[in-house]
Amino acid sequence: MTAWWWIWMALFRLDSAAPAPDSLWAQANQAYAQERYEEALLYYDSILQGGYLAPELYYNMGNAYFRLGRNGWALAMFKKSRVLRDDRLTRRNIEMVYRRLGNPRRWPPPVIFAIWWERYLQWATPRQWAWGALAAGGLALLASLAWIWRRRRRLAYAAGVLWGVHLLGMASAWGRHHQVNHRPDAVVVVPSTLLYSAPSTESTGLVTLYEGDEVHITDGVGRWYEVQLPDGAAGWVDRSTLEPIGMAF
Amino acid sequence: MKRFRRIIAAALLGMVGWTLQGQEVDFSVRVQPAEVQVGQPFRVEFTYNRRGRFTPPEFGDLQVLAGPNTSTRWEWINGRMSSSYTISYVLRAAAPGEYRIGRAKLEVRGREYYTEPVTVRVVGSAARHPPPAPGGTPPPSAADSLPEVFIRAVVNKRSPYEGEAVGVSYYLYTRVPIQDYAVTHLPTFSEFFTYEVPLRNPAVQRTEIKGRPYRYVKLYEAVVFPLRSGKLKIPPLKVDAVALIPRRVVRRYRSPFADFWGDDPFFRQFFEEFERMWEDYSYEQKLLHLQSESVTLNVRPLPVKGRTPDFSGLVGRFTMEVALDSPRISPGGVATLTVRIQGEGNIKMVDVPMPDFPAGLEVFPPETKASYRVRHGKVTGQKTFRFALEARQPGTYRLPPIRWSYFDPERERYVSLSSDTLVLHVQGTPPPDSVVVGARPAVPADDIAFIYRDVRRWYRMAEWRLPEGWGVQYAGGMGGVLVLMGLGWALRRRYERRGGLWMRREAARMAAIRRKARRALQQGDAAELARAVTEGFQFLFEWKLHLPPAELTSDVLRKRLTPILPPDDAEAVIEAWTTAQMEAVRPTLDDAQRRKWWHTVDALWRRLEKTPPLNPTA
Repeated sequence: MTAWWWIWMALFRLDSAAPAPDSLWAQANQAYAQERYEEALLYYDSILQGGYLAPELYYNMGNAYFRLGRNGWALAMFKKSRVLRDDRLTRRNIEMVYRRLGNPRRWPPPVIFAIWWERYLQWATPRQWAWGALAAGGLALLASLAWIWRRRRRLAYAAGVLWGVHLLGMASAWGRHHQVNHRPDAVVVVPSTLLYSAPSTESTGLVTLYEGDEVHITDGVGRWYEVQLPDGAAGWVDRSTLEPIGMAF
Repeated sequence: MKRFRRIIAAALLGMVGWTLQGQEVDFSVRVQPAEVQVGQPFRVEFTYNRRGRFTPPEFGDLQVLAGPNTSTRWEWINGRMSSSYTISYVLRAAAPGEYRIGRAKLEVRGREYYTEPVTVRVVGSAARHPPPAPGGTPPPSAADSLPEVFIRAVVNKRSPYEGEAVGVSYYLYTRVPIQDYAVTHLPTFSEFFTYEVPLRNPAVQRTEIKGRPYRYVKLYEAVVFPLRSGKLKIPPLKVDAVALIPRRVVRRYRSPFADFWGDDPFFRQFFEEFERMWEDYSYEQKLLHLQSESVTLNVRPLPVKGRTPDFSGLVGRFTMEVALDSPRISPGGVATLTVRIQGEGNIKMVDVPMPDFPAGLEVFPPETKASYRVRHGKVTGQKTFRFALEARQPGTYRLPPIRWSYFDPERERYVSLSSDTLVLHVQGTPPPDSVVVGARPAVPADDIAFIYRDVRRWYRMAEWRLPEGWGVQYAGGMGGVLVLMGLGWALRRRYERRGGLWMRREAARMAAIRRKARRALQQGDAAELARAVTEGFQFLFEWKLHLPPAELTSDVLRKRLTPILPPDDAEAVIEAWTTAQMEAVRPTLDDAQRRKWWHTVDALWRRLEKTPPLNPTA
């Protein structure tokens, strides 16, 4: 068991050798502490532009937006943080933003099994899941070949378990990748905008969306997103009015 | 004598069967009455005298209230037995007009019989029978005025307090058989908080009302809580029921032979059974619109005297438990304060106000969980509130007592519940990643939480994405794995076939001789090729025929090859071996001939290699 643990940790560390943007982070937090929230956001955004990422970064950005009264952005940032790591503080802050926004459109909570699956996926990044799965797959291959040669029942069991772990790991890698990059959620970040029947301002305005409303992106054309609302309504909105939660958008 | 009688009875039964067999098929339809009013139920009967497969007609826009009902009638007329089968439906029309009932089909022994289509005239009923007004009392009719069937609403309290539980049940009472019933309108308790009681297979029970026996069944049950004081009405419940009103019992047949056979117990029992079979119980179907009478409750207001400021608005009997799961935590840790209120009353409406927690404690909105049970006119259960308390700074925090009160209707007074003062000890040093940024020592419950000062780990963007085309790569990798495993499997099979050796010693020897011969062929060394071929044959003869080189002659070879090879192949082997010996001494073949000869030799070698060795004892 210890050997497995060390193999896993070795793979884990192999994937986590990113130098930290500590100075920017310290400057951002200092600015936040002195209530210079716009400046703090600039620093936080610089970290993002530098290609670094952390749940705490999105969380702090959400706090800064909240202090500035830009609740739609705050909600979007907290949700991004929650996608990376679902913790109690983030959930609490999301509730606070909901409270301040009044009663924005929200999707009903998923079933409990979906919540468990999402939390389970959050144990690792997609690449960590993939590395773990490949390691298990390699061991499974060795065990399978050993079983072919030696025909011992224990080897067959070990190979079966390892192949199961491998498949579960690959499914988890795919699930985590999809969870972070391709989730369709988006938040309205402007005080209000219109949902159009077609990707054009000349088309019919269907519904008014307000800051903090949650939608699902179903398609995109030019500067327009096709979205679906929790009540089933669907239409098009300007991309600049939404902040997608998935990284791939 | 008894035997004689039994023979006669058997003959009679045979005659009955023969009589029935010879009848013509008579299939008819009858509508009663032919002209009806809107909403008035009427009956359509299909009668036939031979048993067969019946297919009902299309009823169009007519509503089928009951049916199909089947009845059988036996008759003995002028010494001939006849039977008739009747299938009936009770129908109703919703609007005036002419309605066509299509042709019904009867299939008897492969032949099909049809009834003629029937037209029913439905006249408007506005003048004679006005339709029931929505929510109003249905019009009086002969069936509705029957005292045999009615609905009654029963409450367990007539003068409850505002917010006190009242059990309400609706029962259907009847003295006649009910073929079917359906609740058409459930009561709407707009001035009550309602808990419905699920009914599972309500049992039919018997009772007596004013000396008359009744059967009754529970239709609906609920526990309601009045939302205000004053005169409140328990709303009615409506039911449509089809009652079977017995008309009379007709005994169609009385056997003339019953007395003839005297006191013989066998024939007496036989004819009694026969007569019982021909008894015709006739019922009339009536559609009844039933509605319970309203019950008025005199709801009393809660007394003002004795009402405490922390009164929850709940009426019933409750207890409260307050507990802290861990009295000692470290800074940044979380303790859970659980407030559980359980008892009898409107559990869903139980609420606990947010306690006034000391500064420095961060309190999260409580998680609530309610469970209750509704039965016997009461709601019992519990509701739990879990407050998560987080303290960032060390110290001792005294949690104030939680006060909650309710009204007890039995003792007619307010009851206050209070918890003890609980103490939460926070000991240790704050963790580095939970340092408060900003000037405030604690965050109020209606503000966001602190920001993070430290990051557990920085990630590169790419870590959150799988490489492009990873699916194809993975599929390719899995394909390679499958090939590798297949290869391993094949190697293992080969190893097993070779008896646990990678290659037989003999096969290895032959492979070496082949290599030597091929090399000689490529180099054009005829003598060397002939020597290699001779060596190969000698080895094969020793291996397969157990012939040492010293004993090799053509005759011996032929004798030993014949059992294991066809004669032509045996001769070819001998010829090739002879050629090899001659070529070794004096090569005569040119290159092309030598190459062809080598291919022949190689083919013969392969055949010999695959041939099982000669049995040494043969």
